[in-house]
Formats: sequence, C-alpha cells, structure tokens
Amino acid sequence: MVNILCVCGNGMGTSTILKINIQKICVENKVDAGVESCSFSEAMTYLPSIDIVITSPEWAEMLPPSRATVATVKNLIDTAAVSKALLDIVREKFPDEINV
Amino acid sequence: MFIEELVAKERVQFYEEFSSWEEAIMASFKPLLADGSITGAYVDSVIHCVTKYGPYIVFAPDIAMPHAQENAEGVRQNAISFMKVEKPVEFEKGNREKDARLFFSLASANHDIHLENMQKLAEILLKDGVIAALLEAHDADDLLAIEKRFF
Repeated sequence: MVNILCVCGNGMGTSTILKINIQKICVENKVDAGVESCSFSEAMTYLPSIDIVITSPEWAEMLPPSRATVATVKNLIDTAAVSKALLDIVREKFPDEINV
Repeated sequence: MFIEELVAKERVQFYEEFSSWEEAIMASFKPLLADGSITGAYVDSVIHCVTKYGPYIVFAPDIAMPHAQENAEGVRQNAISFMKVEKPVEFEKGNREKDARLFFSLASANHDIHLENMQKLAEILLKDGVIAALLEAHDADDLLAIEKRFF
C-alpha cells in the first residue's frame, strides 16, 4: 500500500477536497493506497510514514525534507491534472501498488 | 440536495463586486453570522489566516473556500454558505489565477459532520459542468435549476 498525504493550511478545506478527489482517482485506477489529509503544521508528524505528499505550490515550498515524494497541483479540482501528477509518481516509484 | 439545502437555509448570496478581498470574505460569512453559526471572531481569524499565509483558499481558478481551523474561536456549529460575485475578487495583485467569483465559506465545530459536508461539496466541485453553470447563476432559482439538472 502506498501512503498518500494531502496537505493544506488548516487541514480542513482544500486538503479534504483533495483527499476525496485522490481517493476516487486511486479506486478508478486500482491503486492500493491509504489517503489522509492534514494541516501544514500536522504534516511534520505524519511525514516519516508517508510515500507521496500532494499539495499546492505555496505549501510544497515550505515542507521540510522527508522520504516522501512531493507532487504539487495548482488546481485541486482539475481531476485530470491531479490524476496525472499522482499516477506519474505511482507508476515510476510504486508500480507494484497498481492492481492490474 | 446540497444546493437545495443551502437555498432553504438562506445561505446563498449574489453580489456585483467588492473593493477588496477582505470585504468579500466578510460578506460571504454574513448568512452564518445572521443565523448564529459563527461570531465575528471567526471571520477575523479567516482574514488573519489569508493575510498570514497568502490566498491559498483560492484552490482552483474562480473558486475560494474561506475558512480557518476546525473548532476555531467563534464557531458554534458546522455550516457552509455560498456566494457568487459577478466581478472577480482579486486576492493577489497581478495574479489572475488567484481571482475568485465563487465562494464556499466553511465553519466546523464537529469533524465528522464537517467530513460529510465536504463530501457533498466535493460532489458539486468535481462534477463536470457544475462550476461553469454556477458562474452563470444570478439568483437562488438558477441554483435550484443547477441542482435539478446535475444531481
């Protein structure tokens, strides 16, 4: 399972919408994933166990270094763009997590 | 269902323009102030968040979701209000990508109810054609027609 974290400022608005969108994308593309969302300040504690972080450019810049691959998306409800950003990373780094 | 609920609870508003994003945010929360879901302290903290962190609440072109933290001071109950502004509200000078005409203003005092509300809101935001239709809406009847057409 690939662990995905959606991050935004307060962990209440955009990251929740993003999480719902990503969960849908993972189901549709048969990616075995656990998806969580949190605020920027909570991200520090989650990061050690996270494989992929998805966030907007303004927050990505401020994240501390971690083992997670960071994907940024400008328009969080552009499902095609969010899907591409996520699936590019999954295919490259976690190909075994896609069930064919 | 969701849009219908917002209309029934008188949590939808339509405006021509605002002279600043602060004014727009204040106006967007008016119905929630009026029905006691929040107090002015919460609106202040939303404006403070945007001042401090930048216009991250504009999370897609034309769409803003003003909010602060869950259980922030001044939040009495979970609520969402909708506001449409004809003239784009500028959040960041010179950056058109951060202009907004659709406002979904959030308050949350209970995490589980909040997640249910966000699930309903996501259904609206993620459905093809709905945003375009909302941008063309001018009154509550237009909103109800959108509900009928898409859901």
